[in-house]
Amino acid sequence: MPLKGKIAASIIVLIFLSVLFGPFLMPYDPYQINLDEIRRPPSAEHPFGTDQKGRDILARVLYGGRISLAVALTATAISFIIGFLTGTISGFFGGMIDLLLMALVDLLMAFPSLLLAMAISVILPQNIYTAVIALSLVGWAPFARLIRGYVLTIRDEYFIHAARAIGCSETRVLIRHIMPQCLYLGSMYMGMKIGGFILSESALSFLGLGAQPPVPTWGGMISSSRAYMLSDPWMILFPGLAIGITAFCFNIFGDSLQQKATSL
Amino acid sequence: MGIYIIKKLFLLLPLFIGITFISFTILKAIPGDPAIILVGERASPEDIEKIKRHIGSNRDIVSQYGGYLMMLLKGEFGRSYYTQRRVIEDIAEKLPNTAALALAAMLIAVPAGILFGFIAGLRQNTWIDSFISGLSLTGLSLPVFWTGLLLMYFISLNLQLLPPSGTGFRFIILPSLTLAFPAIGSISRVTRTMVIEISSMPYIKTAISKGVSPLRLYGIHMFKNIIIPVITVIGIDFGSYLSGAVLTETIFGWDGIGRFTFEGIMKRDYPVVMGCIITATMIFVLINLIVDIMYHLLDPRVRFHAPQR
Repeated sequence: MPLKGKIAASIIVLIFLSVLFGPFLMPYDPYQINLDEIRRPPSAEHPFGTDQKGRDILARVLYGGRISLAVALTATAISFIIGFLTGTISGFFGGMIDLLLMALVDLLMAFPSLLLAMAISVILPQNIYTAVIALSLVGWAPFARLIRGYVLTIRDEYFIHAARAIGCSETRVLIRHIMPQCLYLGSMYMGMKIGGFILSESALSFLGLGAQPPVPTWGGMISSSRAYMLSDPWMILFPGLAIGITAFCFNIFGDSLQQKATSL
Repeated sequence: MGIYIIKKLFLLLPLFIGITFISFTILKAIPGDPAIILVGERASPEDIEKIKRHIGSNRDIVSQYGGYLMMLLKGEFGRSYYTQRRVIEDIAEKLPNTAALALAAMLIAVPAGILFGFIAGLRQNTWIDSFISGLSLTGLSLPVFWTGLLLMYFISLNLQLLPPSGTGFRFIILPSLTLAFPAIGSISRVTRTMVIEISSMPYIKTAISKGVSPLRLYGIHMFKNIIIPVITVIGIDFGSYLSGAVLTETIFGWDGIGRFTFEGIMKRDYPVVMGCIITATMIFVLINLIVDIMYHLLDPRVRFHAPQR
């Protein structure tokens, strides 16, 4: 992996460590309203300042990062699992199953994906699972397409014929011989997509879909502080930087993965 | 060519049925009984029954979907819960604004993206390449609602150069710039890749050894081959521009279907949300159809050698 990919990966690890352990080290509770300390600019005491309810923004960015990243990563993982299973089954069995599954995939991909996720999250009860469900329901289709394409290229390889020749059942061929082959490419593709999932999660939470205030999410923090932007720009600056830096590192990491995948 | 377009148009039919089926499923999943929502919680059972018969929610699911499809074919998306206006009329009114915004964003993004991509590709692996590539990735990584707010903060609130929000010519610059950022990123990335790939092609070497002027070399020989992947990328990304419009229009108070969608989401005005999403999806599908057709017009190789599907 190129150097920039390694640097990006280390920053990602750093971000993960800070959102995991940071909240324990912070002297402030992300939910603690403190009306004596409202809208303070960044200072030694509050490095990122405080918001309109006097809550420490650094504490909320760290705690919100837990939620935003957990939502984005879970959605990526679920999309990957659904897409992986659909793609391998579709490519391996072919025929009618393939036709139907790929028709569904094409259909989902005909929608602008974030808009469809918005439509799905509007009708769901609003909590931290909303965005996970909406993003997963929309996000699996491209995974399925890619994996299916790869299965088509390997299903006539000699080792598959060999497996059949020694008497492996079709299910065994699929699970023990096809699926492991796709895992490498699939997980690389998953790595490339995480940045996009993070941005989609931030957009949904900015729109107020998903976790509800006072639970902090990066997008939600920006939308609830919008009204104070002119006088207290730090309120929207730091959560936005958090989204941007995280997505940027994941995108660089994804680019490095892609370079590796194309040199395969 | 004509046959190809007709074939493609026929393929739209199953897609349309599928899209409407998904939107119908989402509408059916909305919590609460529509009949009760219409007549109120305290209505008598007879009234509820009457309303159910009237709106047809007591019929079986297939005929409900059939009714919904007929409704859509007549261009009827229902009425807003709040304003009682027909959703289709509002959309027709706001769509030109969104189209203007998208067009303005493309007018910024396409030339800028191609220019940056060219520079980065021709200076591959130099500092300027790294700089442009980093900038492109930044454009793709920053959330549009945040860059929009920052632009608004610096350019209209601090420097007072442009008005922060509204609809009209002077107002279009900031939202279109916001929308253009990620587009510049993806266009310059694809241009860079193509420039690098094409530079080593024999026909470019031939052109150079023939002594073709740089302008002709870049402007004609290379540009012709770059424009097709650029158009493809615009087609693929158009969906994310439409979603970006929801955020950008909301922030800048641009009166297009993006902000209309946002207001629908906020008020849980389901006919509005679904109407906007079906419209946006149809636009997305059409744009990709146009991209497909443009392939044929622009690239003779596709026209003559494409396998007949």
